Amino acid sequence: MRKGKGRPFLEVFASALHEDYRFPILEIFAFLYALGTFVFASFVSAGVTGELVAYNLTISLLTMPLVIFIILIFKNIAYGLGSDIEKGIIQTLFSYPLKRRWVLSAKLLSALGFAVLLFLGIQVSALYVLAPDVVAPYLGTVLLTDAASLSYPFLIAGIILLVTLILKRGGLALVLGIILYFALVIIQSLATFVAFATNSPLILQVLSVVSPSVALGMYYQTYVPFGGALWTPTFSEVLLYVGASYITVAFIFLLAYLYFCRRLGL
Amino acid sequence: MKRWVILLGRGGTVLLAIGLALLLVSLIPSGGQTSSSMGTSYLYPETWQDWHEEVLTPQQRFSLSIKANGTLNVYLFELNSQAIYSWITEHHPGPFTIPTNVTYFEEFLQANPESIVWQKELQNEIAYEYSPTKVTYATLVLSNPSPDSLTIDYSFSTVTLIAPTGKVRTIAQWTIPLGFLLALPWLINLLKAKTKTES
Repeated sequence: MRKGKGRPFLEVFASALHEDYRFPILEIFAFLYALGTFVFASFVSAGVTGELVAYNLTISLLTMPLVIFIILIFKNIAYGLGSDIEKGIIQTLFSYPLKRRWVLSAKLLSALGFAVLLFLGIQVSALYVLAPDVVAPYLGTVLLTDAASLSYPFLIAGIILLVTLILKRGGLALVLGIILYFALVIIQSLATFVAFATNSPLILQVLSVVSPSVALGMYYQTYVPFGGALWTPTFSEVLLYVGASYITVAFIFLLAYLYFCRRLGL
Repeated sequence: MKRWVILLGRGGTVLLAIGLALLLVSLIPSGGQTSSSMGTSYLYPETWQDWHEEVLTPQQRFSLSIKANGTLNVYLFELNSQAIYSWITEHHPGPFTIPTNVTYFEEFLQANPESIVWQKELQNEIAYEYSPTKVTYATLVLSNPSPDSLTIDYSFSTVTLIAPTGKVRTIAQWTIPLGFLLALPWLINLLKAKTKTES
């Protein structure tokens, strides 16, 4: 962004924030995040070893808020951005002295960035309220668990963004997004079943590239749906899977940016 | 409407929403007693005894109520009783060492003051509630430094909660008024604009 482009960018960002989080949408999601975080918190763990407790607590706190987070992303990207394209509002935004990639960045910063900020803000604060002595010494474990768990919603967000840009229709993109989400959940369950049935860790390793929380669960030996550990990755391998998943996410977003800038046809 | 009014106002309404969620969490009743015990027992002169021990999580609240017919020292530790016995036998390895001797216990206290979560000298009756901030052992120890035996009436219970009620309620009590205060100028402006549009 060159000098002097900051103000139009902020204007587009402010307009996107206004559209994405109309009163009382932001308040409803903040309420649901806070409520869901505390209601599903659980310390179920064998023994009192700190790292495993920190991991289990973070995972339990993520259960419900992650679903709410995905709903918010669907609303903001599929419905929000899709409707903007459908109704021609995006063409008004193109009249700003900004390159297309900055317009999309402003929209995504509002739709995704602000949602993540709210999500993580409430999550980390809740962890400190619930168990400060668990979180403080194992902040690395907490952040790694958050990063591994958020990669999957980011991947879905990227795919939904691409689908929305291709279809140029908000409602249809929203429906497809919901179908895709449930399809991926079913595929993940089936793949896990097949991996354990065929005693093949390869499927789990492939799955970990898409959803690194599988590898993290295997590392902590908590992701053993059919009993017995099929595969135990090392900590560096877990970090590699988290990195690989974010590279995949970045690639999908790059495709979306390229499509938005060169092939949107508006 | 000025942008900072909108920003503060929406920040306020978000705080209000979070505060209401926390208030709701604090109002959810406990999941019931996970363990409880009560009865009457005796503590010999110049001895100490681990009275109760369990692993607690921040979602549990341990309540105790003790009544004795003399002066008694009550201690709550974030370690298991075996650690106390091990320390005493390690520092007094003689074959005739009686680990429950109060002198050895006082030596342990002087050497490990950080392990004491709470302590009180009981004159007649005492009640206390404790919620840990991590998953930890909670061991209740009673020590009788007097030369007389003591009769002790005790009652312990552990209750499971969704969140540390007191802490969550305190945060809600601060965030709700603060959120309302921040949101007030924005809400007034919103109301004014609505009235103007209607008229």
